[in-house]
Amino acid sequence: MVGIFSRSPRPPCSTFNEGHETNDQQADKLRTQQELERLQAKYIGTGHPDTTSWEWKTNVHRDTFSHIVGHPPMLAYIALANNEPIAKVRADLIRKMIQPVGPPPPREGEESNIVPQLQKDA
Amino acid sequence: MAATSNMFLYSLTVQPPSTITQALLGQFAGTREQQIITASGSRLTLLQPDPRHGKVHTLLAHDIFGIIRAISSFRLAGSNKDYIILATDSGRIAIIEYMPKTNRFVRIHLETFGKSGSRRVVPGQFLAADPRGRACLIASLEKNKLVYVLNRNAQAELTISSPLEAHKPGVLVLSLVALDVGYANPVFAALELDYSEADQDPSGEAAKEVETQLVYYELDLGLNHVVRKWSDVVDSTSSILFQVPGGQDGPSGVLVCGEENVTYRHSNQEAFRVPIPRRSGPTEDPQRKRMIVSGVMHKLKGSAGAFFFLVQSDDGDLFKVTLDMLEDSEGNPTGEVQRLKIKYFDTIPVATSLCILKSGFLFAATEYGNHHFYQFEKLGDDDDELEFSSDEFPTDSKAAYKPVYFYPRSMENLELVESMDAMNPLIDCKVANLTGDDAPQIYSICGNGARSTFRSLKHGLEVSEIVASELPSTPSGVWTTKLARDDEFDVYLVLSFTNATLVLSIGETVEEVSDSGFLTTVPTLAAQQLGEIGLIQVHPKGIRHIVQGRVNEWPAPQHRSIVAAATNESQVVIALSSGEIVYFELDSDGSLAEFDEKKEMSGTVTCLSLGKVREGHKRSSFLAVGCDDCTVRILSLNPETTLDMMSIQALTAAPSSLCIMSMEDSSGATTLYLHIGLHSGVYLRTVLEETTGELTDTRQKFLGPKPTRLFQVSVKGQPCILALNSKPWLGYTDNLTKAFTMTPLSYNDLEYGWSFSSEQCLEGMVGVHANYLRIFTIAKLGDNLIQKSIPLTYTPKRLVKHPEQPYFYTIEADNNTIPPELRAQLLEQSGSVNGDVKLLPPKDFGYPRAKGRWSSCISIVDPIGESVLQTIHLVDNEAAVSAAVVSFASQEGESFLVVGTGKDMVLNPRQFTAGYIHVYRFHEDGRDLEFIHKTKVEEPPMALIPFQGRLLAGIGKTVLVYDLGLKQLLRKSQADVAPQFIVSLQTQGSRIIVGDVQQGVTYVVYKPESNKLIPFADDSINRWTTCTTMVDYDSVAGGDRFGNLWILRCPDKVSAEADEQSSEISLTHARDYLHGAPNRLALMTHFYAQDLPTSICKSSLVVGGQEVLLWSGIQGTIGVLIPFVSREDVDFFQSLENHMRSEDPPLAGRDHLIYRGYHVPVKGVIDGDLCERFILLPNDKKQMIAGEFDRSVREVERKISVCRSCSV
Repeated sequence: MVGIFSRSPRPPCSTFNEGHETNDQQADKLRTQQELERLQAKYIGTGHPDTTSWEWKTNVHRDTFSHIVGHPPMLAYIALANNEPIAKVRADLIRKMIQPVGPPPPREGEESNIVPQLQKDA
Repeated sequence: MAATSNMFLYSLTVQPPSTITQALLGQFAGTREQQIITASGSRLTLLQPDPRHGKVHTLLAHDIFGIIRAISSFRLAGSNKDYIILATDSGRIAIIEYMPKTNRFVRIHLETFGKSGSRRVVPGQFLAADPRGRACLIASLEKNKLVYVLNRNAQAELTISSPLEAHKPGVLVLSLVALDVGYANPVFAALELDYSEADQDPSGEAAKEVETQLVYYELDLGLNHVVRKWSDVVDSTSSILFQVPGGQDGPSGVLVCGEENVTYRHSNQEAFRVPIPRRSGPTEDPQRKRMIVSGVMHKLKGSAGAFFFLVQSDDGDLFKVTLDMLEDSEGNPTGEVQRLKIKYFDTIPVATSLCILKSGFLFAATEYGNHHFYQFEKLGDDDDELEFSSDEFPTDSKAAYKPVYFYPRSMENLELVESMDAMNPLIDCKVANLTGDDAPQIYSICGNGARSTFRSLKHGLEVSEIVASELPSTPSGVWTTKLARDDEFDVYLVLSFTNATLVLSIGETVEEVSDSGFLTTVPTLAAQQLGEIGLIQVHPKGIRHIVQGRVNEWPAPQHRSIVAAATNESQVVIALSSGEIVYFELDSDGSLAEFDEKKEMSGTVTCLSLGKVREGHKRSSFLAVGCDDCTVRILSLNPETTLDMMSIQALTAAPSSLCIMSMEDSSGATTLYLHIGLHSGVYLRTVLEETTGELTDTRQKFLGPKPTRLFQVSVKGQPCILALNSKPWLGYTDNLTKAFTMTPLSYNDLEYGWSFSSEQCLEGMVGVHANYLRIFTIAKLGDNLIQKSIPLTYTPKRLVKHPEQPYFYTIEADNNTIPPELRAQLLEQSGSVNGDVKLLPPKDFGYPRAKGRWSSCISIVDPIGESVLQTIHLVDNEAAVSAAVVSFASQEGESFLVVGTGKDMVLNPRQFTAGYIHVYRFHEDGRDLEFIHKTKVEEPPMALIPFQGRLLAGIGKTVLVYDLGLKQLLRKSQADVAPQFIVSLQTQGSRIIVGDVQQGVTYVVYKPESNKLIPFADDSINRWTTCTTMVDYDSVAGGDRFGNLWILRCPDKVSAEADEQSSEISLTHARDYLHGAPNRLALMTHFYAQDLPTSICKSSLVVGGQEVLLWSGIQGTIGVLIPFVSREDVDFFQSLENHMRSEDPPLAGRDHLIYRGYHVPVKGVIDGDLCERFILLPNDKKQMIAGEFDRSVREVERKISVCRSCSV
């Protein structure tokens, strides 16, 4: 999966073990990380240490819109206030999920930081 | 539930939600009859349309304790019964079967696939089943799609496979249908949006270019996997899909509907597109594009390949859409589509679902307001309506084309046959007693646009009167009797007066009978058909037995008279003024034989009852005797133990009436009951043990201030009890809940009643009211709330009552609607050109729409006279948002109507140009309003209340105190107290409770010495408050936008400190706690109600009942929260609720505890709706649960029913 969720997490916080890791510990870490990535792929919106403000906001908005669509009374409440048919409000809300808080921030320079990290992990 | 809570409430639904999120047609009973399944809120309801009478009956309603998001039905090949698939918020797929024998839904399969809750990536939002019943697809809004293969095993049982995944990240679904492909591999069509590129593109260009795609997912039954078979770009506004028949019946494919666009699409066919015709008319905007909001496909019986669509636009206009097939050289249709055609059909209210029945009816589940049941007059085949064909329009929606227009007209093809009452959207609700009845009524505002109504709800059964005839004087009693045992109908109607008896014959005409053999110069105590052929009349001086004209008279002993009598087909019992009881029984030769012993009672006998002789028995074996020493005795009538006392029951007052009668109990069997009416107006029902004569399990209800009289009647083949007090009541077993229900009749008070049966009126009742004889029937036993509605002009927003007079004031506003003055202007302009213009009634066609315009008005409603007295339209694009009746101390307490308005409002994002507060003076006791002045304020005020002889207004974040001046309102005090936006205000004394749109409630104290408003306590979590009410000085109950109900309480110490005289300085200088007020409120109770609460108030609903919290929900729900008084009851219901959760788990697999704690764990509230399902459990489970409590099943049922009957 390419995208915002596949960025590797920060280096380990602990500095005592730096450079003295056994194979077992490394395998454990890898497993934990794979597990985390699996969860992040399965449950969209699962955060990671590098979640940006835009990603977070986008997720919150998408969750909100899907919550409204999934709860008929809330949908009726909004539709009634706007004096619009429920079906139209529902379609509009789903369309808003495409980009609820504007485009992502530009990522110049970031590209180069990520690539070597990925290689190191591999 | 936390055991630490010290406040406990019992939540009950008074009226279930009436909204229909989806309706589905099918043969669910396995017969050829079609039923309709509807999903409303958390309820699944099965409706049985009755084509002969044009009615719709409710067969079954089941609360699944989960949010029903989609339902679908399927039928296995070769079967004739439809199964139901439920997609809910349980993270599970449930397959349900309807069992017509037991009238229950039974779950066949429940497969878990994800987390519970209504989430973005957990399937459950969309559901589609293959038309041949081979598979179903359940999808989430984003990414996930699961396909389940449905099949049948060797035992002919339905099987379900493990799910096959068709996930794609970054994809949103707008609509999903199953394709009709005959018996080829099942295909599902989805309307999708892919945002994954937009997420990567910082320029924002990709987001603008996101295309709406039509995607086919094919389930390969051979390989058992799902592939994304085909996809194509469709019009970017598309939002809804409809299945086109395939296989033998048509070309397959889908109709893709978007803004001004209906397109036929299929993978191997060309696209065909027709625009949605626009309305033409002087007030219509010719540029406005319509979209399709709902529709239905119908295959015509008999001819293969004949089908049509009815699609509905957002105006409510129905269009008929048909497909033409290409013909080959011999004139036979081929599989290729030639063109798509559309034409105007009729206009009905906007619907969420449409169902066309085989019998030629259309069921329209409307978005708001009453659901409609129409009959097809014709199919619009050969009318002169313009038809538009795809030949004239480009397939590409971006290409230029000429819009098409039509003239809306009144209905020609459909005819409304039944309108089912629906209260959604229920916007505001007040409890008041305006009619002077014992119990108060509920007044509410509901509906939207021109279909808005003011509705009054009264607890009662609808009665239809057949005859009301005046009599020369006031009778004291009335009886009907047959002449012979085999007579089908009653023949005589006997009326007793103070010193005479009148016998009338029942037939085509009612005439006096002179040769009846009755003694007409005395009053009558009882009249009865006896034995094979014969009549009996009991009067104070004796008994007359009349057999074929011969009269046998039994005289009462000297100096004594008969005071009470009870009779049945073979027995007669009388009580003498001396307290003796004389028993007669019919001999084998047809004569009446006196039992040689008289039984002496301790006091004067007030009433007697025998009960009917049961089928196959010779006699009723019990006699109930009520004496004025406040007792009821049961005497045996068995031959060996005649008149021996079997049991005695002490009462709280002297009995006034008795009735031994068997009724259906909750398990479906019949139980013998003794019904007792007391002089104090109480009605009791006790079980009469058939072997011992013991009286057990007493349930009671206070009916009114007069002595209660009881009569046995029959309604819908069910024996019922008619109890007369200040109002007539009917006791019966409710068909849906199986609970014994006591409901007042919406009718005059009656002095005496009896059953009535004739050719014209099979199951009627006859009653005496003053000097009127009335014959009436009860048509429906189900609905025990009587609705009366008064039409309003626009969508109502608030309801306020005049402080003294029985009038209500509503404020109404519609967004994007052309106001009347502009409408008139437009009509005038066009009128000068076109001459006469037909005006369409807005009730059926809606108001003409225009963006940014508001129509708003204030109405005075007279609920007793059932009319709107005055409507004041607001001008200048102002719309009313809040209202209150305020009595200003500066005007010597005179009350004024205060209305808050906003000018040029835009709801999202919130904008306006000004806010105003209008003040109106009451004239003619509130029947008329006079505008005094309006005051410009910073923002539209969303909350207004009277406060210490002044007006308190919530304007934005600020609360302001206003006094009434001559030219405008005068600002007296103000403070910023709410974090975002004030939506509700409550007050008691100097305390003000401010509800914020997002941040919960804040307690504010007003310090009159310094004229300051100081917030001192607020909430610990964000509650998107919609409504609040004060439960007591320290507590506030409210509802929020996510469907929760809660009670918050201010800690005692904080509350006391805030009210101290000298606390002002310490309050203003108190340190903020975590960016909020210095103190926090404590959560007392919390409950997820599913429906969005729109109003909440504290009131008592029954005579002598305790106060309850009554709340209304936008889906039309009315519920109550009843406080528990004793800790024992809490413990009992808490553990009953626990047992019910495990013994009767919710149908769709939602965990009940998690459901009721959807956002915040449920606290201090017991779900009465779940507890009441105990009555519906099978007997063994009831026994088991009751055993856990060391109680009998009846005792448990009694406790449950007492909870409802004492408060609701």
